[in-house]
Amino acid sequence: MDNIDRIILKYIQKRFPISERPYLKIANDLHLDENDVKKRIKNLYENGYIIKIIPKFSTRYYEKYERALVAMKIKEDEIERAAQVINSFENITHNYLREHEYNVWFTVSGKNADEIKELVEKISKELNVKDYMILRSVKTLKLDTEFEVSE
Amino acid sequence: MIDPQQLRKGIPITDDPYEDLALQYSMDKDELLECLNKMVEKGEIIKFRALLDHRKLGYKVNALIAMRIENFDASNIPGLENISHFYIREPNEKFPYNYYAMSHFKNDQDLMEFSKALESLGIKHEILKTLKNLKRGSK
Repeated sequence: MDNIDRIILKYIQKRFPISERPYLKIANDLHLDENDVKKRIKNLYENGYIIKIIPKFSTRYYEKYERALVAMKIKEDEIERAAQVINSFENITHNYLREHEYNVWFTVSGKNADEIKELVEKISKELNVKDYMILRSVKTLKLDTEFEVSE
Repeated sequence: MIDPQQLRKGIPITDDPYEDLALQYSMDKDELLECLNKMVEKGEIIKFRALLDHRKLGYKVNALIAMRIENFDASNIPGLENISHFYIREPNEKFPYNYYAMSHFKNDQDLMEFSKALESLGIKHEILKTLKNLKRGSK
């Protein structure tokens, strides 16, 4: 990754243009060449710096849905299977292993609190997990995954 | 019409991203771009942006920090720039925290400094370090 890559990453983590020729728009804004920008972005994607290009929703949009963070206590040797089961449901957005007695933490969205409760109960039964908590989301304060792109 | 949720799968990163996205929706490219612009106008989406891998950018230490905040304006927390996602949640009797911050640091020392700053404000908190992403393709 060189300095031009960094400049491009900084730009596209703020905005990826909705445009007939998005790479041209980026190139023009950054005084670069369209083909160079295209090649670099594809490279940065292949090398894992860019995960994907996604829409940013307003917090208002997120608040239309009921959302919760769920924490479960899963035995060490069952984590892999648990992850498979949890991820098989469509409404699961994130799922992380954390250093804590509650070690598996995932986020779930649904139409309402009951739908979420039902889904989590289904998962807990399938995994035979008795100890879990559902932490309902009340308000979103910040939602911008922007990182400093530096040396 | 495009379901905004479906767009979370991401725009293809190819030679012609919107042409390839249009194909997925059996539209032509102009139609798709018009549709996307309308979605922005209506406020269904704000914009598109790239999701970067923070580990690759040198943020090796990631943690969920659960805090108990009362009578304090959370926007005054120092080091807010290390937090990417920040939510208020209903506390649980087993876990009495009401603020949840996904935070990212270059090293353990930076995380400990953040923790100390919270402590000095009297904010009770627990650090739940990220060990592994169990759902690849998301962040």
